[in-house]
Amino acid sequence: MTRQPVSGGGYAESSPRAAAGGGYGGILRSSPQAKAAVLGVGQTRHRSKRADVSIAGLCREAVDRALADAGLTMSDIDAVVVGKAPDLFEGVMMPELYLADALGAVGKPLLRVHTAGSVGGATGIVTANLVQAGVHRRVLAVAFEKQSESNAMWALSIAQPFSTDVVAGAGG
Amino acid sequence: MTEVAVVGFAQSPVGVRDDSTTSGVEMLVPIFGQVYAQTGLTRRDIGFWCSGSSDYLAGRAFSFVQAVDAIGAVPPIMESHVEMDGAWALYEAWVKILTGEADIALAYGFGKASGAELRKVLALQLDPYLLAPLWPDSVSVAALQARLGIEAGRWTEKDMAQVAARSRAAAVANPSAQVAGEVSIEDLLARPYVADPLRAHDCAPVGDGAAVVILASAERARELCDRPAWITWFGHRAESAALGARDLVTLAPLGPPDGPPPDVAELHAPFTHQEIILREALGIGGTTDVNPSGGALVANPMFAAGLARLGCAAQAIMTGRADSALGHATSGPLLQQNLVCTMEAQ
Repeated sequence: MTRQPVSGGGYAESSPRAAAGGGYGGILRSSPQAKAAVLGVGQTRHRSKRADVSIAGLCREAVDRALADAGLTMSDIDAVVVGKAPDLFEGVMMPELYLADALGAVGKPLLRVHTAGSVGGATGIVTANLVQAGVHRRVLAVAFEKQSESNAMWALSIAQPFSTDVVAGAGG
Repeated sequence: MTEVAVVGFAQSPVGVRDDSTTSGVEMLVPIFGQVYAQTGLTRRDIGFWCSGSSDYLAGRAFSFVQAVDAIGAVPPIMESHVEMDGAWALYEAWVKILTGEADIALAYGFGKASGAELRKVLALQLDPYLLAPLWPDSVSVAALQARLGIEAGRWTEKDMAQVAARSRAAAVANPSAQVAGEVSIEDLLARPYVADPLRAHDCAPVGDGAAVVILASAERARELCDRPAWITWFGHRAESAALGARDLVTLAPLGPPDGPPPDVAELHAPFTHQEIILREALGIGGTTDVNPSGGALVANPMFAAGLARLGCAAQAIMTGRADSALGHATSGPLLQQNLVCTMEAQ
């Protein structure tokens, strides 16, 4: 049985495909579980409303601060993981799609984690696992909410047919 | 190398289902039973669960939490969710097994699109400030892409109809398909446009469905399946969200950069012209059997159709019909995100 060689994702030097701009996530190495370290962090100051930035602008404040903290640029990032709870909180379906350009995810693997109230932690776990599994070397994790774009109480109060309404606030 | 294989797959019948709610539970419980029967596993043997679904499609925040009723999460389980097609949940499950934190994982996806006006819902995936307020529905946007390809000489309406006719004929053998049957190209081309140049047959049907795949590490796979589908490559990539900023009729190469073409390829193409784009990007030529299931054009359960492509590709290996297979899933407008998984028999 011949095992196909796997190309490294996000390493310009290890894959002709990646060098051509088609960066992919593949298995980087066949080592056992690797360790993952946090290289940098960044966050915005929380406010009821940030009318001065778009959703992309809000995310970029945190992303730019994290990259600066880590001494990295977007070109050093192999993959992006976005964590965010219900899309109804901004009124955008799957906002990571619209954010692909702002987050430097074009041409890279992009994952969107949504585990409801636990999403911040789950995003960290998924991001760490990608490094621990040897799939990527450097992964950017972005978690956000811009609830002033929508109406969170409406988002949490939609009645469902054929269901007893048992949710009062965030679930999961 | 930690090797991972698909050892089980099941998909629900797809259609406008009056027996299923947006929770997904009614569609999931039967197919969970099927994969348990295939593998001899019970819910207590699953080390990690991951699902793919959409709150916007379900019309409810945290909608996927209800689906956990299909699992029976007592005692507590290790579980995660992506707001993406279940194919990306499978990817997360693959990563989990690679870390060594689990040796058996179950990924599932589900969606009830018949409860919504799907094409309008998907308009909300577009730029919320500049495009979504115009409500460009998903079929009209795909029609723009189809028109660009025709004008560039990349495909014709007849090429598109051939994809539809081939898919529907193949679907006769697929009990889960929503649409199936023999139909002539001439008949198809005589039908009216729904969004010029797209006709109804050029678009995936709107229906409800679910899919489930079980992955196992090398240590466990052979006890669960006689002929596991071993994963040889698994990756995905996002393109720009700015529809005017990217080439909408050509995708940069997808999938592993070398190797022989697969025996079978299951491509998640909700529009006929998109299959043509994908075949070219994947380098798939005449020797590969494309969409023997009929693909998304005959059954497109939102947030499960991509997972079902991976499952059907794996099933071709598990049943002995193929020695190598490729599964593809897409997400977002006009093939913005694409995932590829290649598998082989050993």
